[in-house]
Amino acid sequence: MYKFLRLVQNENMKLFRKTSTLIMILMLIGAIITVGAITKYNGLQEDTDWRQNVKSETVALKQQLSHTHGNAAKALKKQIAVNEYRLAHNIPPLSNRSIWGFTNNATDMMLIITIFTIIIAGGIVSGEFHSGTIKLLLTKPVSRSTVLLSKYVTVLFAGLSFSALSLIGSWLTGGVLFGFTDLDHPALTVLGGKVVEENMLVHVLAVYGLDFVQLIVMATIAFMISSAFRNTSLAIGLTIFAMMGGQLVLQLLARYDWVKYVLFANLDLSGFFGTGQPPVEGLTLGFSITVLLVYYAVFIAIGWVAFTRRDV
Amino acid sequence: MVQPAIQLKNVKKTIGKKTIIHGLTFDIQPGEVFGFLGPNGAGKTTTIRMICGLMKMTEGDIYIFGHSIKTEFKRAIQHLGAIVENPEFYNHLSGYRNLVHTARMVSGVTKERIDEVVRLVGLQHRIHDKVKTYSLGMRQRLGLAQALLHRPKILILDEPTNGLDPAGIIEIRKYIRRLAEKEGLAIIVSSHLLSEIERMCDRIGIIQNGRLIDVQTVNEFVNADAEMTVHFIVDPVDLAIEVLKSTTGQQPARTGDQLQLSLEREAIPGIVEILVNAGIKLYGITTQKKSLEEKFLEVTGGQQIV
Repeated sequence: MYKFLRLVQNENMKLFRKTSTLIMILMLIGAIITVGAITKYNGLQEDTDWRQNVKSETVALKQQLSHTHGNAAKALKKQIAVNEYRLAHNIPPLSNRSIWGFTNNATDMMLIITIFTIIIAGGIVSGEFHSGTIKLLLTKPVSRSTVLLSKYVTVLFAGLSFSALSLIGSWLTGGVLFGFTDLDHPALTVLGGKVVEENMLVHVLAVYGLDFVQLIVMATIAFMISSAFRNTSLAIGLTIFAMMGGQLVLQLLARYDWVKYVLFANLDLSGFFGTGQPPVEGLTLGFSITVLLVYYAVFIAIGWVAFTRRDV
Repeated sequence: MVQPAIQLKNVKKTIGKKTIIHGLTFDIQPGEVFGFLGPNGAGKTTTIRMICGLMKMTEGDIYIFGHSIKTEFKRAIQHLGAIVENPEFYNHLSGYRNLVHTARMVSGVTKERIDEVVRLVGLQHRIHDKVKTYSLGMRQRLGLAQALLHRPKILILDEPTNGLDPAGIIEIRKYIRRLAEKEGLAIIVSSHLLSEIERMCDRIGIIQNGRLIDVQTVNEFVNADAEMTVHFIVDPVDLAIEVLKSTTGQQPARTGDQLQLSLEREAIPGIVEILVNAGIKLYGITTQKKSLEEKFLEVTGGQQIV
């Protein structure tokens, strides 16, 4: 265990002393600050009468509901309930130009963070083969499984660090640009069919957490390809292609019953919470988690077998 | 009997349908420098990779101080320090951080030990520079430092003098001898430079087409032939030819004032006495053994080595 931690320490030293990793961090910070500046100085003026907006939005949603069914209808109903709760309890929607509003919007950074993590996962094993340094790792009294695990843990750690950086960075940016005010503004969400008020921090953490599931799965795919084929470009390219093409594949397969077993139908767990909706009919949270775990186990097994068995 | 440092027992390697290594069996003792020679593609690196656990063998087993590299990998490999093929490092890290990286993977390497090894290979002035700024010779030194860091009992060096200047080569050669003689390390050296092997090694193993065709001590190998070529520088030459012809029954070959004869070592003093008694002035005698290189070409059938 002690040696495992030292290996993780090694992997982190190698990773965070790379120029490319530093560039990723700078890009992430730069993106947050840029979006913040655009929101502050270039955005449209928001209407001051939020009640009127929410009312007209609710009317539009109800109209839409009359010719919608299935999952989409459920999501609409939830949104209507939230809007009505807003009006009844006098809770205005979060402004984009507030600290929590900005922090909430900045959860979109998870797309970039996922791509960065895929890039790291795709290179962390194959890079050692490419440079020949794999010999340094595998001629030491450490099992190959331990070496592989230390790299995997480092990938997830990098993803986690980026996410934390995004959360803290966007909160601070939001605070500096829009003031550290209205900090106890509640988020409204639907829990068990009822609208509830939620702490904004809990809400934002939940968004990051659900997106992190997708990050883990995509990073694991890139990591598996990297270990099995020892080709960085293949690992990164294939994984990002799968991530981008996943929704398209879902649409093409939507008419088949077995679509719910496809990985991409189960990646976005946020549909099961709050006002969202699952992308495919008939999914449950338990089912999606089970499917994800099965895929996950297969990816891990392929990467592990390829790495521990093959000649170097 | 002392336990061998490394024992190869009928090691075979098959890739696809092609057999690359056909059953290697040999031992290397502590304190011994073993030269591993063979033409390109003979299986030297494959064998070294199997000893280091990088490649799995198809059949047979390798024991390091009695521990099988197959079933007791960690216990076997901890005795081993190696540079396999080129010394490769993390170029974006300093030499020092590369050593720290190695130190974290093995047991019992202190900061003092790292400094000690750095001084040993003479890298103390550049150790905090990034490895990408190092010359090949410096990388070799860092490779040696990396391999010695955990005080292994076995050292495996692939082409250790590659890229070093003559002074560096002599230094490394001395150092390898000292490690073997003073600290009792078993050292495997593979090299293209046969003269290097001749100067560094106690025994050599010649491998060709995946088969070990000969294991001998360097002295045995070079001195296997009892006869050697002896050059005599004499005056007058004609008289000397006659005298030599009548005593040895051989027609000496002549180049200028030099005569060459193929003789056994024991016969030389007798010949000298006869020449001197016959009033022939003897200006010099040189003996010429076959070099390892000639022998090597002879044994491997004159194949290209490099």
